[in-house]
Amino acid sequence: MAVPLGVASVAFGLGFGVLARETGLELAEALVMSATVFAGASQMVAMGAWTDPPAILALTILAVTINIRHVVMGAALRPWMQSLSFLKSHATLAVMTDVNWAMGMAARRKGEVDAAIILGSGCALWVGWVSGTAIGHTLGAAMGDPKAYGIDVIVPAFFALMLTPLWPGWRKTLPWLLAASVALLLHRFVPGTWYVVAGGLAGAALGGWLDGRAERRHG
Amino acid sequence: MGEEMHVWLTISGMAVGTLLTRIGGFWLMRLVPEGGFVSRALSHLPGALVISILAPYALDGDWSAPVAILVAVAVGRLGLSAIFAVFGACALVAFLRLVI
Repeated sequence: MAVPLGVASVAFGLGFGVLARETGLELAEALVMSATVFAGASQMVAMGAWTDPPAILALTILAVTINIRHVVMGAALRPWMQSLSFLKSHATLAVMTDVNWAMGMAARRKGEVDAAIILGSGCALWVGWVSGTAIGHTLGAAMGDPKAYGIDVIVPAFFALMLTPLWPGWRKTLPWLLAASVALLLHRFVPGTWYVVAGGLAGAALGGWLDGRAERRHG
Repeated sequence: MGEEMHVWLTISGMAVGTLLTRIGGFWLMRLVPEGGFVSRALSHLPGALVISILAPYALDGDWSAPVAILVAVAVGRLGLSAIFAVFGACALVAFLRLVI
């Protein structure tokens, strides 16, 4: 799975490279941004809000707001990360993206025990993202519209696949319903990815409470 | 301050801020006691997060993401590899965009 993901990552990187060039970033600047920020949505949005010269604080806050979902994703990794050394856990977290996080979570549910799956696929995604940025910036608009190839639906398609192993069964859908409702509500009214944070926490809290109640009844 | 400097400081700010979001959750969890409600809630967090990310794609956009989601799940159900599922979904959406 890591190789096709790397390829998909190149495709996304192409899109960002083209956009960065149109925004006026030099190749070196676009490359360093992709290599160090390594978060597609926040980089794309930053290009939309870029001014000349750029507003340092505003763009930093914007990036944090869009990437705030990482905080809850990282929290969900605790059972896995706490057994690793400081270096291993932090290297893994540094390359954590939506895609390899979801992949790792789905794999763990299926019985995978080695957290290296997140680090390894994260590195593949990083290489793809940075090289895609380089190609996109160099070729520019000659690339054409990535939407014509359906590249923009890779993420929802991939997430839908990852959902199947995490599916709790029909009788336990209540936390998912709450998570989805809260997420949809906030997505419409609050900027950034707070909708992921709120939906995830609401669903997890309800799931935890229901489990606790069931344990007390049967225990 | 030169304009070049502004660009590099912005990139640095975005990079450091984003890195903090990546490691912040893990650090915060060290402050939270283990066991009981927290452990039970944590086991529900992955699914709740994935559905929270997916729901707006499915319901707040145009037809393309819902079509991709259905195709991916259908192909995945057939037991075919995730590669076929994801790129099959892309190909169908690209084809439909061409036709419509």
